[in-house]
Amino acid sequence: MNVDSPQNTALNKQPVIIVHGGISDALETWYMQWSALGTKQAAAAGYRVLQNGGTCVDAVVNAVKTMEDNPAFNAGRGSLSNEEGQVEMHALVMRGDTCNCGGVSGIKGVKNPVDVAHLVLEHSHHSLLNGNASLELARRFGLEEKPPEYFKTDMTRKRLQQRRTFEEPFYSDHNAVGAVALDCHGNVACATSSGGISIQSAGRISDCAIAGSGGFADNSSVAVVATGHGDSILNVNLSRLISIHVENGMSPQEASQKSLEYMWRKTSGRGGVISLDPGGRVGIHFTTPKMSWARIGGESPYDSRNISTNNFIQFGFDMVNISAEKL
Amino acid sequence: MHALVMRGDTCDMGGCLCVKHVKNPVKAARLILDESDYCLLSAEATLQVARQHGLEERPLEYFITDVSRQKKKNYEDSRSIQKDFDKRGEHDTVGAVALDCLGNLACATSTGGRNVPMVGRVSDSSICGSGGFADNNSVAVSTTGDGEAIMKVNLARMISMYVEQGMSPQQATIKSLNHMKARVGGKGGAISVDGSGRVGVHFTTQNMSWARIGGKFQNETTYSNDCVQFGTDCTNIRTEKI
Repeated sequence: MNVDSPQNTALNKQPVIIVHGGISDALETWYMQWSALGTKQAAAAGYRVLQNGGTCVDAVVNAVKTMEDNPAFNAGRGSLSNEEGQVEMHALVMRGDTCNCGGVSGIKGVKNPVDVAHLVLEHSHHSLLNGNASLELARRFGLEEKPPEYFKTDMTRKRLQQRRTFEEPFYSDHNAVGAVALDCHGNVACATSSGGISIQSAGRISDCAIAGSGGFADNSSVAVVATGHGDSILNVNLSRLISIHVENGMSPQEASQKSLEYMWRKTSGRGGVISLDPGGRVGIHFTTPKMSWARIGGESPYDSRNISTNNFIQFGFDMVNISAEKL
Repeated sequence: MHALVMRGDTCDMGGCLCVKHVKNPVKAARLILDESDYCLLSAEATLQVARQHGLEERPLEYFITDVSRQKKKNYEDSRSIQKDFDKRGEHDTVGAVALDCLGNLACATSTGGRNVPMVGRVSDSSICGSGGFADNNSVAVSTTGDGEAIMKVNLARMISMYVEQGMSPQQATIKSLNHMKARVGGKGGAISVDGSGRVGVHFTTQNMSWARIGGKFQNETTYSNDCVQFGTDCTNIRTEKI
């Protein structure tokens, strides 16, 4: 990592992490509460890495891994199945100092797709690999694999059945998980992971694996991850759009709002984003009724003045019922 | 092979990646755009869609030529991806952008990927925002060059954003390519056209083959639809009447 960047002197050295567990139109509060709790755990796991002087890349990978292992989320265990009843997963890790990225599209059987994306980032000359190539890379580095049944839960089986019979779902489909972080060296990074949408065609590639759509990170602007209607996110390159607005002087919060509204006008697609710049400014916005999220550190335009956001973790699934716990 | 087609009126697109056997991957991308609910499909899914619609297929030998065999041998001899690229433009994505009489923009891109990629490497060419982008509000773009670098900066989307902010396609293309070289060290080229016919053609490599009919380029003040301009750099430009 570029520890000696000239940006360090002017930057906020307090680390920051923001995590989201996906958007929802769900009426079921118990589900959103479960999801919000999961994002809290993920943020705490990522923040521990940062507190020990770890890099932003390790922090976001750790946070997303926690959510992949948690069956509440549509990533890793708990991923939705495609129309053939198989689980195909997608992930992305991008680092803001070099803008290098590692994307994995349509991988099966690996317990933590975000670890594979991390491998693509660090050990491959390439930016994006398909399912078979990612699996080969994962095997070369001895990553853990699981049988197909590991990834499916009662909830995802029920979801698949509901989709097949056109029943009204009790939770919405489009919920990639993601994390953005700023470390004590002043670098930002992002990571995201998804099982895609329920009953999708086998072979559909999620926006999640695509740098500029599912996520983006550049030290000269912002780290951002997106969730929501994937095809709309791809159509407008949501993450890159947000980063360009920040490059042009907007705050991450304004840029997130403006870009999501643009996506809605252009494609009628809804979604949510979290964003973070190297100065520690935070952006959290969603055009769906709910999105589970958690955050430690940074400054948001919604914070009351003079609070030290590094002493506690904020989390919730909308912008009204926000809980805060001391770290 | 990888391909992308995107239309500027709806920003809808069809992309296919790592597809084999289909004679014209761009036709498969067009099918995904028109017939599929999705934007981007992997190899097997694309092949299914192509077969459902009876697209022509060819055996492996059809796609491999003496030139591509020689390029593979050159790579194996030099064993260096960077030297290989710098040598003579081994990144040969092709593309097109167009403006029709209804005022709509579109782009299409197709590639066999870089010389001797890792099996399963996905090219920027099939990725909206990187290999190509089209939006009637700004511009249609198609890019070529160092695919990894193009993906890292989302070259096509950058160009479109600069045009949205008021730059001409030519200025936006130059600025974005320069940014890509400075930020991530990658060279490439792009073609662009906006809704009023202003054209952008720029490349940070030594050469890029290009051809154009119509629109306004550089210091031209009128549109020229009766001849085709073409060349491999921006100095030796030839013109022929259509």
